Amino acid sequence: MDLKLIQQALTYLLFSAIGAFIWAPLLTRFLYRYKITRRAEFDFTLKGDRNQKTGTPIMGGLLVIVTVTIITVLFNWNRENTYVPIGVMGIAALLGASDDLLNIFGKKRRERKISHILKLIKVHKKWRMRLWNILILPWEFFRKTASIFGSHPGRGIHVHEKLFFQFLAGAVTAWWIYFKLGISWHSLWIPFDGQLFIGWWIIPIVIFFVMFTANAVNIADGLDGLAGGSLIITFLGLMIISWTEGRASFTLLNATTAGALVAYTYFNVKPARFQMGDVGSLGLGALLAINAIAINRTMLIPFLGFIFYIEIISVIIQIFFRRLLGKRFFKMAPIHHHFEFRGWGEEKIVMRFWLIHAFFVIVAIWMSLYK
Amino acid sequence: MAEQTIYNYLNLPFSGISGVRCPYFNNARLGQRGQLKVLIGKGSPEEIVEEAKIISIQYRKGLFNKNGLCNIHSDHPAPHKQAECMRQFLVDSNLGVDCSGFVTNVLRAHFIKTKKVDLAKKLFIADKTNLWRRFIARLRPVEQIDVNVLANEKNSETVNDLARIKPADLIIMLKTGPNKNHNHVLLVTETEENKIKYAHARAWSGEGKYGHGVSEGVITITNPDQGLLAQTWEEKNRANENNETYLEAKQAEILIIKRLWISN
Repeated sequence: MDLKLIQQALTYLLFSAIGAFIWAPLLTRFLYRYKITRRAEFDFTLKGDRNQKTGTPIMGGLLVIVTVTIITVLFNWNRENTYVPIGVMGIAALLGASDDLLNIFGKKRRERKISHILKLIKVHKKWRMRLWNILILPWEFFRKTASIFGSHPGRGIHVHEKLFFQFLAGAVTAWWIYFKLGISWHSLWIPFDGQLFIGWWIIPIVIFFVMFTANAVNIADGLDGLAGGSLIITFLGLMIISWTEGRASFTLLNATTAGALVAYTYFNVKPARFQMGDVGSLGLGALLAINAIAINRTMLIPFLGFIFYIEIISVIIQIFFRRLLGKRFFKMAPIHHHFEFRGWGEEKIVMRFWLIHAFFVIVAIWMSLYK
Repeated sequence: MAEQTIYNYLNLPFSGISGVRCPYFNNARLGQRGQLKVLIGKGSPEEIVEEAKIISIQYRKGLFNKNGLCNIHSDHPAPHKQAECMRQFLVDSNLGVDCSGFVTNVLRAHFIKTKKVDLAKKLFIADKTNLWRRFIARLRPVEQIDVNVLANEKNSETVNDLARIKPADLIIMLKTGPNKNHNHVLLVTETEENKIKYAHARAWSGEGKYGHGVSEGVITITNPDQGLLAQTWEEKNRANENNETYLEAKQAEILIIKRLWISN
C-alpha cells in the first residue's frame, strides 16, 4: 500500500483541523451577531435541562462544509474525482442552509388542504385558475403524503420540497457515476462476492443512498456531539478504505473532512458552542454517500453510517406504528430520545453510540478488504 | 376485570398521585386522522398515563421525575389540587376517552380476562364490500368502534325487558342532542333489585373546561312496566330533568338497551 498517500492524507487531516480551529471563533461570532440561534418556540425536545440549548447558534456545520470546500478546491481539485462530490455536498448544504435560515427568519407558511383545492377546481370562476389547480394537484398530493414523515412547525422548507431537492442531488450523483465514471461503475460491489453487473439500475440505487443517508445524518443530529463524533469515525473509515483502494483524491477528501470534523466536534460536545444544523448534516450525509459510492463500496454505506441508519430506521418504524397501528413502538423517536426517556444521560447515549458506530465502521473496513 | 378497568378510569394509575379521573375527549371536533389511539379518545387508562408522561417530558412540563413518579406535590401540597392540576394537563393535552372508547376498553379487558376473546376482533365493523374500511378495521380495530358499531344488529341483540338487564349491557342513545347529530352509550356495571348502575364518559355542559370525564350513575326502576325514560336517573347528585345524561336519553331518537352477542 502507498504509505506516501496515507502520509499525505494525515497531513491534509491535520491541516484541515488546524484551519477549522482557527476560523471557528469567527463563525461563532458571525452566528451570534446575526442571531442564527436555536429558538425556544421550535424546540420540541426533551427535559428541563435541555432548555439551556435555547440560544445556541446553529449552522455550525458551515465550519466543516466551508473548510472542506476551500481545501479541496485549492489543493485537491480535479474534474474526475472531487468535482462532483463537492458540488453535491454544496447542493445539499445549500438546501440545509435555506431550511435553517427560513426556520429562524421565515414566516409561518400556510398549507392548503387537498379538499380545498378540489373545491376550487370545481367552483373557481376563472378557468385559468381551475386549470392551474388541476395542474398543481399531483404536487399537492405529494406534499400531503410527504408531510406524514415530518413534524414541521410550519416554517422553513417543507418535507416534500426537501425530498425534491435531495432527489436532485441524488440525480446529479447518479448522472456522474453512470455517465462519467465509466462502465466499471455499472457494477455493484457485493461483500465477499465481488462485482455484480446491474447496468442502469445503479441510478436509482445511487439516488436512494444519497437521499437516505443525507436524511439519516440529519435525524441523528439531535444530541450534542453525536453526529459530529460519528461522522469523524465514518470519514476516517472511508479514508482507510479509499487508501486501500488506491483512490488518492478520495483518501485526501475524506481526510480533509475528518480533520474539519475534529474541530467541529470539539466545539459541539456538551455543552455545545454551536450545533451542526441542516446545512452540515444534509451536506455531510450526501458527501458520505457519494464518497462511498465513488470508491464502489455502496453496499457498505449501512455499515459506514451505521448509527445514522439506526436513527432513521427508528423514525420510520415509529411513523409506521403511529400512522398505521395507532401505537408507539419507541417511547420517542429518533432512538436517542427513546434512551433519554428511559433515563440515560446525554453523554452516556452519545459515547455508547460512538462506540457502537466505531465497531460497525471497523466491520465495514474489514469487509472492504475482501475483494 | 371490568371493575378494575372502570376503577382505573376513575383513578388513573399514575404513580405518586391518586384521584385523577379520566377526562372526556372526543376527536370529532379536531378530526385528527392517523393519530395515536390514545390521542383520539380511544386509549386505555394505562395508555393515557404513559402518553401523559411522554407529553410532559416532550414539552418540558416537568410533571414527572426520572422514575415516572408524579412530582406536582411541590407546587400543590393538597392532594385534590394535585389531581385537579393533572386533569388540567390531560385536558390541555387532548388526553381522555370518549363514550365508545371507554366501553370498548372496559369490555375488551373484561372479555380477554374472562373468555380469552378480543372484543375488538370479534365485532363486525365494516362490510365485506368496503375493502379499505376492512383493512383499516383490521389494523386499528378499537379506533373504528363507535356507538353505531356497538348498536349494530350483527354485534348485539336488543334487550326489551328491564328486568332482564345485566352487567355488560349497553344503554344506547342514537341521534341525540339538540341537533340530533351525535350518539352516546352507557355501560351497565351492576344490577340490584330495582337499580341499574352504569358508567360512561361524557361532558356535561355545566362542567366547564376541566370538570368532565368518566362518571357513574344509577337508574332506579320506579315504574317496572314502562321504559327507561319513566325511571329515575341519578348522577352527580342530580336527578332526571337536572341530570344531563337523562336529558340526552330523552332527546335521543332511539333509546335502546343492547347486549353484545359475545356476552351470551
